[in-house]
Amino acid sequence: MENLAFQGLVGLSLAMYLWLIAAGLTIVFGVLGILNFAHGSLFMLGGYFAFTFYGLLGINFWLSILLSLVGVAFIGLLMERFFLRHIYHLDVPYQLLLTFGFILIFDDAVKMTWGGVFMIPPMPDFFTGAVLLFGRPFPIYNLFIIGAGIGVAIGLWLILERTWWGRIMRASASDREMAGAIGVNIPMLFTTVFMFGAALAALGGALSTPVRVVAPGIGTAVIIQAFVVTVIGGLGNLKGAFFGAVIVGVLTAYGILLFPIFELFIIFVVMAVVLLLKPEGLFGE
Amino acid sequence: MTELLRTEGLRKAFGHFTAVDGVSIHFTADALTSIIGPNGAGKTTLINLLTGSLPVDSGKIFFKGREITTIPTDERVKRGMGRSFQIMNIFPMLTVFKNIQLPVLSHLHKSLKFLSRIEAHRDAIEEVERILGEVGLWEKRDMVGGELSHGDQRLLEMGIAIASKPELCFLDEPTSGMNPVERVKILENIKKLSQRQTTFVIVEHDMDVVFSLSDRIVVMHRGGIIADGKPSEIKENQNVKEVYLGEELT
Amino acid sequence: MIGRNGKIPILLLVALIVFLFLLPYVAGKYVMYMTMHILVLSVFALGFNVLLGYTGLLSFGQAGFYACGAYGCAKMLLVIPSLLPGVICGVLFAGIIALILGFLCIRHTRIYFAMLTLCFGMMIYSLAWKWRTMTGGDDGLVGIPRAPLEIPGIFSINMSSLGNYYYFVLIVCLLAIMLLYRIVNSPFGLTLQGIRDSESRIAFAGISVKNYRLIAFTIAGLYAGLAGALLPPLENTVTPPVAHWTHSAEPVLATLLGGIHTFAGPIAGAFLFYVIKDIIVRFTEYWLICLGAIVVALVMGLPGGVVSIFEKRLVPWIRLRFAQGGRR
Repeated sequence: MENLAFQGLVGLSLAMYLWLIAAGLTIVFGVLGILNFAHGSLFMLGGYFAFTFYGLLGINFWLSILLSLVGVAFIGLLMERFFLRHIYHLDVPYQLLLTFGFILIFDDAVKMTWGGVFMIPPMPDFFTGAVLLFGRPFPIYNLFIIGAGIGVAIGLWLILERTWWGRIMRASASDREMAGAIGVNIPMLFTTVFMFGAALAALGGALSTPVRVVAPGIGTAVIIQAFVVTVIGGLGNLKGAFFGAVIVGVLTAYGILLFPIFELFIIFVVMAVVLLLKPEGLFGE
Repeated sequence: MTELLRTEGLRKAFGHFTAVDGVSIHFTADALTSIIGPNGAGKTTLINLLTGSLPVDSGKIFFKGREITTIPTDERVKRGMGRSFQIMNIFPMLTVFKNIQLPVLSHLHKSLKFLSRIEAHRDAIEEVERILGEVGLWEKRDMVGGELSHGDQRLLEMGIAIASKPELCFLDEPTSGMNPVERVKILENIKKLSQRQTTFVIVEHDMDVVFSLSDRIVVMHRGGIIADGKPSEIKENQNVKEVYLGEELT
Repeated sequence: MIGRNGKIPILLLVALIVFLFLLPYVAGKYVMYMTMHILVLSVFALGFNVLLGYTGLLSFGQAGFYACGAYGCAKMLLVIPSLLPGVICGVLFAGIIALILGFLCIRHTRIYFAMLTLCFGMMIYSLAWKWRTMTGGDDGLVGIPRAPLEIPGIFSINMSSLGNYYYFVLIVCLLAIMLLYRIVNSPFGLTLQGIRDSESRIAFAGISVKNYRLIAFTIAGLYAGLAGALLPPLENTVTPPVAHWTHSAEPVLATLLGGIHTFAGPIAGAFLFYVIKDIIVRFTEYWLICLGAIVVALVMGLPGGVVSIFEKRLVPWIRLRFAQGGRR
């Protein structure tokens, strides 16, 4: 019993990374109407940048995270401004193909810059160690992640409900033409929202570096999980993204514990079940 | 006076806004009906409910005596319904010929045939030629749908709608955006076709069209029906005049 | 598409087929090997394009069905060393899995569909990788025989020479391509295009969209399975990477390169894909970034693919030349 509770916490911390990516994915889809296949690559870049700053260059951990957010947001700016913007009018398949092309580019670009081997980032000093939970040592860093994830959830809620920018995002998500008609600068909004989504993914990547390896290919591994989260939770709403992430994270952790061979497969089975019973997702419309 | 379609207390709301509020109406086979009303009256929503494009919140729909309230659109079409769209909805990448060929093949139950060449189905081809002749698009049969002029696309819209030989066909603003010449063409087509087996129900804003075609006019306002009768009766109706506040009904 | 009034002159087509049949006599093993891969990718990509170009659905998981075909064929060959049962088993297995997964995928919007195909494709990959007892895990299945093509009691053709297997692959692929050509030019094919153009409109033509999409999905799965089933006798092994999404990218790219909106696009694209890959790999190991850049360039600049250039410029030029030449 204690084992299960402990593993549940492990799953919860895993869920937070998924939540960060899924949140960015959902926001970008909700406002721009684009499903960014390369979102996982932005996660990966966030990880690489953060690792480079604090692992290789010795910069302060918090500053590194901030810098990696800025870096990836800038990449997001380039992507949206010079590429995505020109294909909004095209059919859905073309948008998917374009962002898919970016996955290929980022994967190799990362190999070219950092080499193809995976690297193990160090854990910052103030986070080493563990607390005893349910009779077993639980890494402090994972507690921090859980806190950070919940913090982001609250922060996002505040932004969307209480700020002017957030309200415009919500308005544009439900009716783009109307928003344009009342004077919202749509191109500017799209760019900033895309950058924001990219920053969220990068945050996930940056925060995950001390506990994961940094390697090319984690981008795609993570986008698959983000998609599963989105299908289970429902595309286009943040509540679904959060709870979907929790479900997938916890189930993955239990899978590793109880069915180690098929742990990946379990998530897909759950996704298939959700598709059969409630196709629009657990929280979708 | 065969009753084709009947509704009982049809209701549809979007959040706090009730688009269709307890509409009970019926359509018979012998009369061409126009549905008119100011913007937002619920006309298109009603059509969407009747054709299955939107699910009803409450109420029932009966078509040719059988309940169809929850039946999907393609099934309703197979039973004899048809529709043209207010916003252009043709097959833009197909030629005019193929635009018509598609519903014709479907009507002949041949759409699942995957091992025979399309050209081999002579009966379908002859039917397509006939329809193209009727709507007057024969010369443009090899043009791609998306390249047609607005008026021609509307003609094509109608062609697609009647290709399935519907008994009850809804036309949603069939003459919108057309110049007078094109408008005459469409009206002639509607008149010609309604003399055969198709009963038309038309949503329109153009009062000339409405009064020249209709045997019966239904007036909607705020989700409900406020008047229903012969054109002469509607012209005199006090409620209708108020609703159209100052507008000339001819 | 073919024929005097069509877009590709029939003479060109006949010449190409004759050339392919004569290939083993004029070229070495490497070219035969390459050509087989191009033929297999053509079949793979043509199936994929039934979904994209004809039905408007973008699938990123076709490699999963390719893998079903490959593993299905391999498992059968390890039990019964006979070519036909192996290939048929692979194709059928892929088709059944496509039917089941298709049922889950096609009921959704195009965006959900793309996500789901990616996820299910990787699900098959994870199974291939982890299920050691069935699939050999990341070592895969080895020692797969290039079994003879035989009908017991009637004939048996030995396949150990590359030339013989080449003819088998060539004939099977040509038949598959011809069959698909017939399918897309049938009433069914026209209906698929209507679904692609306007889902709302086609419901009013009395068409139940889901059923047709499911059939299209299954056809794509069967063709991916056929492509995969031709692989094990050639390579004698099957490993998990055949199910990975990067392999799903190959038919996507081939189709983009060659053109989504024509029948022959994916075939031309398959040829271009291998040519380009061959060239790029000589200069750099960073093959993916070039591929990605090509995809981005194509989407931004040339959605019609290479075949559209072919149709608009080359074919009229060819026809003009022959007309002026006067000799037939």
